[in-house]
Amino acid sequence: MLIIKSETLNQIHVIHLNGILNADTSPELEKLLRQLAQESRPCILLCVRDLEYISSAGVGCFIGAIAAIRQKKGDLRFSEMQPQVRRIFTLLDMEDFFSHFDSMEMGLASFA
Amino acid sequence: MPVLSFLAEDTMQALETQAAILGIQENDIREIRIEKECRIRMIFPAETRQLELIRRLAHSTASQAPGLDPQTADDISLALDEACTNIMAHAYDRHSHQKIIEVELSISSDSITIILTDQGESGRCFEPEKLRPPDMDALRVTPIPGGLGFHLIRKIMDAVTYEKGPGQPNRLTMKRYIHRPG
Repeated sequence: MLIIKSETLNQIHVIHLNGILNADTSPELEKLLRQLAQESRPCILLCVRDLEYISSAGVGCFIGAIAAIRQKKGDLRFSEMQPQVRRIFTLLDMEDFFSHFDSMEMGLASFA
Repeated sequence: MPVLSFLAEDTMQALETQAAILGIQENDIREIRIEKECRIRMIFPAETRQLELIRRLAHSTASQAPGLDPQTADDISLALDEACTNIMAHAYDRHSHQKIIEVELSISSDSITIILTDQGESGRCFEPEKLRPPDMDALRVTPIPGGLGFHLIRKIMDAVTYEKGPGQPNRLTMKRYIHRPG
């Protein structure tokens, strides 16, 4: 199960993910990211402190959205990534593909 | 007659006690090793809602392997998730209603082996030996999702083989050594 909560702080879309992000749960997040990517300069911060697990289907959500987001001078960044989630980015040699920050505050400040 | 038992907490103490009961010199025994071998088989519908349960079952089973570190148990259950996801998406072409996946997970003293079997027609076209690792530099320029699952499986597991044939199920065998060579 994946719980997605989103809010807007200082024009930054903050998405909190809680649970499991796999092929079963990723379509809902994919839909949301695609929707946000339509905006002008979409700034998205994914708070993944409570994300327990991610598979390549979950990583695919971010890869699928990032081109459209960066094309509009926006970005998709992460905060509070837990070791078990970071592990998949390491396995995929994608550690520097997305920016990540130790806290939500730091993630928000990075967009300033 | 006393019953031999090695269920005591301290194996060597149990050995000493039992050897004394049987009148055997304790030092006659060269080695004592408790080996846990097990095999489980799971047959489940090829539906994504099953993925988390299967992953958790595989994780708890793999964690029983003596000497296996927790991160490797995480990795192995991730490889299984990726393999099941590929079957659902590609072998069964997302038409997985009423289709099944069979998973056999076995633990030996030196390795963990997972065998996945499916009946997907599209799986007959899968040629893993021709599959190249994703080009990460190209992905940075043109991010296109997909193709990462099998790449992950290859990184995590030490041996991966794929068998297919007319009239036979598709079979993916993945092995991970408990202590990786090198």
